[in-house]
Amino acid sequence: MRTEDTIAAISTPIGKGGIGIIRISGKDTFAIAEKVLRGSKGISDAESHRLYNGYFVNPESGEKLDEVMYVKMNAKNSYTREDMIEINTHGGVYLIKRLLEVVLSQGARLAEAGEFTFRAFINGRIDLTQAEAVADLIESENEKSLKTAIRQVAGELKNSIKEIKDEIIDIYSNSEAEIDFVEEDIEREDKDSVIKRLKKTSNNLEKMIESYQAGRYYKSGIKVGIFGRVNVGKSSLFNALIGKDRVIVSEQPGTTRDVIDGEIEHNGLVLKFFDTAGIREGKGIIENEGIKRTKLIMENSDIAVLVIDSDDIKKDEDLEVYNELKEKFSENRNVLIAYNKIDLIEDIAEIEIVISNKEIRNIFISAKEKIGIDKIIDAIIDNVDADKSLENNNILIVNVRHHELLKRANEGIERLIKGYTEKIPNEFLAIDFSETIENLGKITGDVSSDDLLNRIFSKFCIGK
Amino acid sequence: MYDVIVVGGGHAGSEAALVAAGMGCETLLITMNINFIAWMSCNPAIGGLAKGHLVKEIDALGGEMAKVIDRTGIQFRMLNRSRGPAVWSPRAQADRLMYSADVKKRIENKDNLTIKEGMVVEILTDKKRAVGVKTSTGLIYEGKAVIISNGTFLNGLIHIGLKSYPGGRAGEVPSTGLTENLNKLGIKSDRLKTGTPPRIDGKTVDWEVLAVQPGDKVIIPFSYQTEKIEREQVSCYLTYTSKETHKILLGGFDRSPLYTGVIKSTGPRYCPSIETKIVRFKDKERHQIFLEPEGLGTSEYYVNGFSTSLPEDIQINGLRSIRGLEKAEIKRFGYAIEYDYFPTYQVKYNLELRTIENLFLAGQINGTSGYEEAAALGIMAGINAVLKIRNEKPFILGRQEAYIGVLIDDLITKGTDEPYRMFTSRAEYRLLLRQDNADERLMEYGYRFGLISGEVYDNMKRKREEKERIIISLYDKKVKPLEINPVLESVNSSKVESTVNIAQILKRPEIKFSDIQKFIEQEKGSDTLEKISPQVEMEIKYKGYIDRQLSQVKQTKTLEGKKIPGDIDYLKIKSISSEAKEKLQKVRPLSIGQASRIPGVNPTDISVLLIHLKNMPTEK
Repeated sequence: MRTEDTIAAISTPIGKGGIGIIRISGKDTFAIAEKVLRGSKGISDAESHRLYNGYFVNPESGEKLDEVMYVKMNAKNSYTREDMIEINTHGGVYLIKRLLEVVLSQGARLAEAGEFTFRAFINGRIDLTQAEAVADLIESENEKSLKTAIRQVAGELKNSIKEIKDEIIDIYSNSEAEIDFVEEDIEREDKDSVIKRLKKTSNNLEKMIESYQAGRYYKSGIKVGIFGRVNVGKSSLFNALIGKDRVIVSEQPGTTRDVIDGEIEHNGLVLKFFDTAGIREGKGIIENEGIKRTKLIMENSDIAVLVIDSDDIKKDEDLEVYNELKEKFSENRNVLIAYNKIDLIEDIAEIEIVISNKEIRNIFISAKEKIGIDKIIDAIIDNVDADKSLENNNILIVNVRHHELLKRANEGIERLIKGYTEKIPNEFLAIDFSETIENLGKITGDVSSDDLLNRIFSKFCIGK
Repeated sequence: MYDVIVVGGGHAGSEAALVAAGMGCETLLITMNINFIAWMSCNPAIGGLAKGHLVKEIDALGGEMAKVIDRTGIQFRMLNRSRGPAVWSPRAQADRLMYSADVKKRIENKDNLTIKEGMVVEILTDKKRAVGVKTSTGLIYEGKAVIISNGTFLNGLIHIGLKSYPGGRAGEVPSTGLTENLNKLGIKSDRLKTGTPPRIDGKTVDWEVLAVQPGDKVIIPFSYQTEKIEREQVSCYLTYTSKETHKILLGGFDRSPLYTGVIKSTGPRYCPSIETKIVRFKDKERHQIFLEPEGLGTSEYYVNGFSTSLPEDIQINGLRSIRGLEKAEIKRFGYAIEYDYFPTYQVKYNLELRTIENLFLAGQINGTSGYEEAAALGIMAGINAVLKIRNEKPFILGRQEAYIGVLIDDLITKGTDEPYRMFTSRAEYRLLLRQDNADERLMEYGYRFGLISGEVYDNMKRKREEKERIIISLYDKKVKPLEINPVLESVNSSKVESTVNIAQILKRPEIKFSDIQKFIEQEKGSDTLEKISPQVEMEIKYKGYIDRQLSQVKQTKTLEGKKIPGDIDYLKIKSISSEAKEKLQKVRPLSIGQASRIPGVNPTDISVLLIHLKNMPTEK
């Protein structure tokens, strides 16, 4: 991505809201603004961070295109640390696009997604975690994820990582001091105490790592796939869940050939449902295609609902589907079993239970009569909460890169625990210490190799 | 007209002069006092953690330090013996007089090497190229290359209490004029501080009450060329300061040059004065004091751990409050010394100044401390001066190759604001840079430069081949449960069910090399196995760790391979933080790898730099 030119974009959602904002950033910003804006004060005389009233004009024809308000921001204090202008226009789709075209015709380039933040990052305005959080903020799909993103911007993630990193550096410095200052009168930390500290740190890291799943749920919603053999009422359940008749429901087996999705919001969480074609050997080309997609959904769902026809249980076939699901989902509890069509059954107790596993929830429903639909939603939410609650004050990891690095850091700590247990001499363990510290440092963007000696000299009286 | 002129005959200058002459160059060594060649200004000891590694590397390249200490050491110890051989480190007490005399003799007997007394005050240059030196009496010596290695002598200022006087070392005058001359040539200098403890008369010590620290029973020599050292060794002794000592010392702080602000420059954190220790670690009730013999022919002892610049009366009263030293007499008082050094970003990797061709800096004037660090820089400057005047490629060692490589890269890339000392933790590839394999790593270079004889080189190759043969044989050699189980049982290791190879057994944490040694075939009468068994054990037992280190080296190499053009103007890259800009402009790293090691240059700056390099037009 180039960073030397001037970029512009509409930075409010198109078509919504009373006004729209055009944002320009880069070295030619003021020159461009000088050409297109006519205000009470010229751009060069305008104060930074003050709102001015004026007109947006077409510099070629001199025609007034809109009455606008604009803010000039000097590079020193702007978001991107470049000269910036924000122009508040009247937000009609046609108008705002027209104004942007004029800005672009005067030498600005259309900004790519996230490019303002990218510039803020490379100009040192925000660090890596903050940049990623801002990107998440823009993407965030609901209120709770907004909160996570904002907390990250405030640097909470950074602080937590810093604490963990600090503890590892501290243990490492003890270990290194023992090697390099063997003749010094320094206290040696005993193995058990080191292992205890490492385990505690690993626990903290694990909590953060586990929160990724929940964090991801809050950021991009929970994906729920609806599976089952043909004609058990998957599409009816889907429609009942999203509350709309979107899928053609018919008595003919194999009607749903495409994967169809719909979403609902429930207490700030987005639930995305995917209806799938029934799992069976397809007869035609179209159906084969549908089955392929069904498998894809199986790979990508967070939770599976296996639908079984209570009135027509075919144990072998149902089990076949179940076994396939079981392979894909590491946690049993993420497979829910919905016994459908209970309206056709006289006594629920008589329904044959296909799978008896304590971790697996059996829910009795009638999609047609809208019985038990809430129970399915509750079960989904329960599973998410079991993953890690948002309500406690833990950091939520929502970024895939952070998740990867944390996992690697934790693997390093686990190797250290193993190494200490097996009494591997600490000159070898140094590799795991330094790798762990490096992985943690990559999240916050600061990796300093001199931390270690500083720590040693501040802790121990060295000087034979 | 000389090929190489070396200014200063300390540990750096001696090695530099000896290798330059050894490579066949007409070499002149000018020093202020020929009686103090390779004099140990401070601690009468060579080696120790990481420093011992440096000595081994100097030896592998063909330097003298290891051989000299093997001949003049009076107590030898292998430190960290309880750990793996990667961090073993040899250390020896030296007889100060014998050490110096031994080096002097080597210099005097060296072909192509002339030694002269004199104080150099001026570097003669012609169009930014060194062409000779001028002494304080006006004598001029012409040379194709000049190596400066003045140690702590440049404008040295000695402090004892609030008194200070010019001196290069106790009892010797400083070197004046040269710094000013170099400043005029555009070279920046700064000040550093170091210190030394008092020396006492051993006849006045109550030895009975002190803990004895004897040498090793079996001595492992420093030099790969020393066959065996069989010498009666003398002991060191250990005692402790007390609360009373600290009280007495604190009583003299109103006359402490350190704590009254007389000394402004920074001293080393790893070798603090006793006054710094009691201030920074208030809660520590006692500090270790080692009494180390100065030599076989003297009753003088060096009071290690008691470095001080407090006034004389405080020094003596303080010492006498220490157990065993109640009646001690000080022969020479401790002192602090401030001296000039030249921040190392001004030199290139071959230790030649960036701005003055054929002028090299070596030793403590680069901001290091320690004889070993100085000698390492000396041998590198010596070799590179010769290569330069022969128009050959400079000799640069990588961080993955040698502690010497770490030393020079750290000095240039990270700089130092205290006297720099080597630690094993500074070497990120420590498992590869071992004291036991310095010969395997570096002897080929020494051989190529003509500093290592063919015979010595061949011996190393034989040893290496033998080691590799044994390692392979351990993987090949199968043992039946019947043969190995009794061994396993005797060390409480679980038995095997089927035939296994010996290497698999050796990988078990509880198995030592000695347990399986009997399964290895070797030539009769050969002692190779005994010598290399720790190496073999380590290379098998910890293969996983060593392999990981090797892959780290590979990864870094790609970063080192991303070169940065020499004419880049960092100040114009606006997206780099201002601290990083300043550092990059100063250090002018050759590669992205080097840039990423500069303190104050963070990963964001590196990303920006990479983006910038990508966008830069490839041609002008």
